Amino acid sequence: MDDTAIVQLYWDRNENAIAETSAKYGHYCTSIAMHILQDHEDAEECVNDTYLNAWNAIPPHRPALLSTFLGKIVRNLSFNRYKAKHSRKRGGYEIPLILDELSEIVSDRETVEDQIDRNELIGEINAFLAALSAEKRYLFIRRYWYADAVADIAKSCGKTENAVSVELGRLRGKLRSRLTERGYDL
Amino acid sequence: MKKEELFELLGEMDETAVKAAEQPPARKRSTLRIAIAAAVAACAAVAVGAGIRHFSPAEPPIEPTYPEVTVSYEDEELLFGSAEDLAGYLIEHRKDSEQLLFTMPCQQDPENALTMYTPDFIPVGFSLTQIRLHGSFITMQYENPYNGEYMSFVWGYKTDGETYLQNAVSTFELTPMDGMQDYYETPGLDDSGTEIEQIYWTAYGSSFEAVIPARYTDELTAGGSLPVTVTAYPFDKDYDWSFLSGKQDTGFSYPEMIRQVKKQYPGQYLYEIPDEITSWEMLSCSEGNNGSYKLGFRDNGNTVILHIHSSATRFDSMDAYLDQPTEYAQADPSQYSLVEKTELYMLEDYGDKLIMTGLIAGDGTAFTLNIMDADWRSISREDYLRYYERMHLSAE
Repeated sequence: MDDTAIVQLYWDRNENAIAETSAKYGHYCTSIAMHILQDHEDAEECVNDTYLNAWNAIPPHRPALLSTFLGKIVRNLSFNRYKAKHSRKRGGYEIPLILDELSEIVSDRETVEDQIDRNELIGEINAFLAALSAEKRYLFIRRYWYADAVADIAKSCGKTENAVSVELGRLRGKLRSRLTERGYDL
Repeated sequence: MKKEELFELLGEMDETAVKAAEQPPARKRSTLRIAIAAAVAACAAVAVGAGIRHFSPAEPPIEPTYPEVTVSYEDEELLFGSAEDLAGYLIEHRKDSEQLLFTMPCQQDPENALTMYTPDFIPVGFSLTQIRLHGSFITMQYENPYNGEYMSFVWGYKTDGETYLQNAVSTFELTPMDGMQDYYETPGLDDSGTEIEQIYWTAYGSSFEAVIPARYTDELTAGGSLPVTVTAYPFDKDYDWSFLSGKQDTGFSYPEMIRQVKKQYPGQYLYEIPDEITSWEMLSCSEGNNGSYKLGFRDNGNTVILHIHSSATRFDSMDAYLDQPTEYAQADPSQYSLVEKTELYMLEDYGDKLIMTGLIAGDGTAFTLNIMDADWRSISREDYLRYYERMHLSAE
């Protein structure tokens, strides 16, 4: 079933919307949740919560890209669950590595919310993305949106892990430079 | 900002881009391999001197056959971990952006020739402005930021396409390297009008630039140790600068090379004068990338840079190199002794510059001959045609 039809099921309040979503995007959502949580049970719960969130959000929302709409929800839910669990135990997660990498871009200090316009900042990040080649954009998004392991990214695009790691490091440096040049004290 | 906040924020990245990243970008290596195979076949044909279309001397100066597209990849930093990466990159841009430059007729179909431009690239201080695959060659052209001139390096005279790509990769990845390589020097003037030499080289995995008064290079060639104060920009501040004091005794160096040349050819570096051109004066002799030698000559109106590329000829055999006149055009400094054994491979007309690329038959050595002049057509066209005719005939 195409995405438009699935979204229409939500709008019609037809419970088949969940089944169709699960059939088409269950694996996609589970993959994202697993990258973050590294736990099947937790991932499954987050995916189910994703469907519930989608059910509650549509309508009134009508997502243009259903996959990324769902992906964003499951990413947020999984990361929230990760943070809750992470306060209790460590190890076995991809996220700590990703967060460590991201700490190269930010100071990792508390900042006053008012000092940063989040919409403007995400605009800058998107502009940064747009300026990248397709391959570099792919690397960045797979790592920092999908939370893919470097090894998986390397395999998917036929590169060595080292090459991917080096490239990601350069991209982080570029992003940091770009944001700094534009006055963001992160 | 906390890193967790940034991670959450990155969840707001452009949905279209995120959607696109569900699949890896297309890689067209197989296409390149086809091109490589064709190029290799073409080169093999060159090597045996058969089946190659040469340009007739009667033809007008070559005009671009295909539309030029000059592009720039801003914000690009290239990293190629392997020949395949480079191949993928080249083909990706060839396919996706049509950012190619098919200006040079090549001996087979234009699919064998592609040119692309990209700025802001290593080596330090120089920008790689052009990568060109043509036949079995890959030419990388660098812009010297100090004087706006270009210098080209030809790689891969071997008939193995993968080999030349690997050679190319070795240029992209300047580190790690053993010993001193990639040595360039460029004369110029500083703000006070003093003649200077701008030198770039890499050594021990680091890149260096130095600007020194030109007179010091002459003094250095005497082999002495000078209290030289240099304006230098070492990227590795722990580097041993004794090289500039003439103390280094390992590897090759420009002063050492010049010293050898001067020792062997005292006085003016004059060679036999060809009929067509008078007053040839050797301006410089320097070793470039991968065992290449760049010889500069000056005619009254024209400057000719002869760039001989041969991985078989190393600086440590400079004496032997200079003693092989018939093979390397030393006894007869006109290109004739060179071209008598040369297959003309390609002519490129840049308007103010003519570049000939060829193969020396027998050992497969590639060379490029750059004839630069403000208007070479009006000044040296006849000479060029005579050169070309000889080349053409010799190639036949």
